[in-house]
Amino acid sequence: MITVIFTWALLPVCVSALAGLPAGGAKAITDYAGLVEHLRGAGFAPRFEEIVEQPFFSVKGKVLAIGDEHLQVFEYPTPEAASAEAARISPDGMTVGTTKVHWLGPPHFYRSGKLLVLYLGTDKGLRRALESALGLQFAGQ
Amino acid sequence: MWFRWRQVVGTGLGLALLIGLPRDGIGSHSWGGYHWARTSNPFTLQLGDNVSTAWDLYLDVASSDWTLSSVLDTTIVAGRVTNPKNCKPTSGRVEVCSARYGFNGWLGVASIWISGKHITQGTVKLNDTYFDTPKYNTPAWRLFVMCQEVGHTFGLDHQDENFSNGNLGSCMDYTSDPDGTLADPDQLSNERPNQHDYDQIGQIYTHLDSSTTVSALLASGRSGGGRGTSETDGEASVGTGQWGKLVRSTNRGRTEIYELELGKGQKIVTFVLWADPDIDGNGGKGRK
Repeated sequence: MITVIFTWALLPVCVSALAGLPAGGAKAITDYAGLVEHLRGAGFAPRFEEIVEQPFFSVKGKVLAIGDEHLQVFEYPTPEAASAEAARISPDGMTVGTTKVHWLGPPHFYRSGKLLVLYLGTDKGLRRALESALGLQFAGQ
Repeated sequence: MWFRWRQVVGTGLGLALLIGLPRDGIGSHSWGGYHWARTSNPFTLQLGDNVSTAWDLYLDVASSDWTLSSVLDTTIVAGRVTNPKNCKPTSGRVEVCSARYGFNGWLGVASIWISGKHITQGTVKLNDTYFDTPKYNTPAWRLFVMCQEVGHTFGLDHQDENFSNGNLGSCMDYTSDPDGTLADPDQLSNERPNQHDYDQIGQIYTHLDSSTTVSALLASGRSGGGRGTSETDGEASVGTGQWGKLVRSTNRGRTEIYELELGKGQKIVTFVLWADPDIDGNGGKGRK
């Protein structure tokens, strides 16, 4: 009986992790506007700060400031393009293709639909909100 | 049944713990087996100097430190990058650049270009947007990041990627406290390579290749921490010794061919057309 409960309790988590779906079965956020709306709904006050350009990504991103924390949000033309870019990122988040990146803090990469989101930091509340919007991180610390 | 599940879960947890363990300096930290192809050791890798004066000292120290490796020497040469923001690579060497790359979340990046497992060129970018701030504008942060990024271009990975655990005493170990002075007075400094880095480089470059991807140094350059002169330094006074043996001289000595043997059938042939002594007035020699 315990085995059955254990298995069923873990199943949604495993499925979400494998599919990159947000935990809790919520509808996945797939674009920038949806992410901003979701974060506001979660009690955060995200504000656009500036455009960011990374030498190892093919599109420019938007920096969202949330208090002292910052997100880099990259929106690709298609989910396939976002997926292809994400595939170049190593599981530990420290390498993109053949470029080693010395991040300011622990990297956390999320992907959903056309979005690729990078968070450098350790704020657990923000990470939970990102997981609920975008699914578990696919790369990072 | 329950027993079997416990076994499975226990084994899974064990594997997860093993996978999640940080590399503690004991294991390998080769970056995917990438390495410069060369036909003999030690080999000399040129580091193109495209950094601002604020970085010169740290490039010198990093070059000297990595040159302590028994298989690898580095020499600083004049940079060939016209715009450090782009930091375009040069075949056969590493261009080291500094510029304000913006608030993009990184202090430095090291890029390599590869052919199979062979590194063919590399670049290092150091982000002055952050290094111009009080937090990072310190000798410790500059030395740590310079050392690590240059180290990546040899094919080294990180020894450890946990930002907040104890320092391993290597610049290839991530840290929030590069000189080890913030929390624990006995903390090691991560500003320079440690023996494990040298051992790892030794392992990466134990074998020899049948060809080379490393540019030959044609002009004089001080190995390990000096500003050398590269073949682009047209006005530098150079001798002919570094070109090897004179094998042909024609046109009353104005046209010469030199050969430098690299071993295993490899050699560099240098064609020299000396300036007309009637024009430059000094006999021509001394300028390429």
